[in-house]
Amino acid sequence: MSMTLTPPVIGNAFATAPNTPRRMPLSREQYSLLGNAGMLPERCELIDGEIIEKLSQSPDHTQSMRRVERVMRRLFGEEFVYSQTPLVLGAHDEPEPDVFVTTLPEATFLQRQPTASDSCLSIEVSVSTLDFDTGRKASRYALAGVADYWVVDVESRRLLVFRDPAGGAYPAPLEFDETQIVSSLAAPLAAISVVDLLP
Amino acid sequence: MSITLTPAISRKHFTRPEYHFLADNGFLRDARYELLGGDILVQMPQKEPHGSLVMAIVFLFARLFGEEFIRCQMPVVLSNDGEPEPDVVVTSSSRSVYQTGGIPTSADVRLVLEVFVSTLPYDVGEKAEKYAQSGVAEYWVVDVESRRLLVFRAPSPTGYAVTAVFTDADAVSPLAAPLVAIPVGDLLP
Repeated sequence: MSMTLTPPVIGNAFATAPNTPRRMPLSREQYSLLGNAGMLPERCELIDGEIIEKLSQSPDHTQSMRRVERVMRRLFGEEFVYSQTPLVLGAHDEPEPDVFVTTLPEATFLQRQPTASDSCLSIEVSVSTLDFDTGRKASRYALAGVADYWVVDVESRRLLVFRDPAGGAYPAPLEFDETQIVSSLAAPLAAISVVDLLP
Repeated sequence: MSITLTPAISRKHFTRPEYHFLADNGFLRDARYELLGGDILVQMPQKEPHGSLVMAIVFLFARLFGEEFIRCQMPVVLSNDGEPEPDVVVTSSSRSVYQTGGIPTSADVRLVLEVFVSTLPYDVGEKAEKYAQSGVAEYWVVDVESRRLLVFRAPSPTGYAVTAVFTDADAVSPLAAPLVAIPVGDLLP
């Protein structure tokens, strides 16, 4: 009977193929089941089938969000502006945008949640999440066909505007610095100073 | 698709109770899943020759260790966020113990074996690390494409201290049966 060989130690560098195991994409149904059972983190959203936990909100994020909210309420009316509440983008996506604007009165949403087609503008305030908000999250908004998706880039004091989604992606965003004025697709005649969205 | 999460964002990691809660509510039925490192992973559909090879090893191990100590693609509890379903597991207690006592834990496991027919995936090392962290004494990876056996031993919180590669000309004695030499060729097609 042969004996165990003296093992050559070569570390863990065996693998050569891309990851084969795939994370199960969570559906909105599963997400809400977990939510009703109290198994979700306190602040989170469902993005591309993954539960993304929002760990902390910095003071400048809060202030920027409040300013965005105030501007949008003035522009679109109290009733149409939501802040950090669920927006249904698809079977595997239910973000809670910092601010979004609906096209329908709030009575519509007593029985159901607003969806991408009920919304004319979604805005995320980015403090330390710019890559995520302009990358993976933007692609989910694009897939859902959201016509106007804005990212307030607090660190660089600018606004990124994503429009014209095609084939599940937005073209490169329009960039506006804090000296500039922008208007939304839903209210093209109403000028918004970018600086009013920044903390 | 891989993403880098910034510190303000993190993916929720599932615990075993949450994983079982989803299963108990009728989800996780459309495919095979396992829980590893807090992620619910979709298992690839079973293919050949993987299936036949796993069964051949099951019967070989049943002869060596006793059939009541062998489990095939059944869950093992690694931790509160780990419940994988390895191809073959050799347990320290007989089946009847788990029938009443629940899913075997890593402390009940003497050997975990997994078979990879095509190129080894990148997460082989990661998976080995999870087994090591939970104290699985020995982990074998049958690498069919390269006709070799990877052996991981001496688990520690940072991974297996001993990793070794054997070719199909070698014979390997598992820690669970040190007097038995298993020709690596017997684990290969």
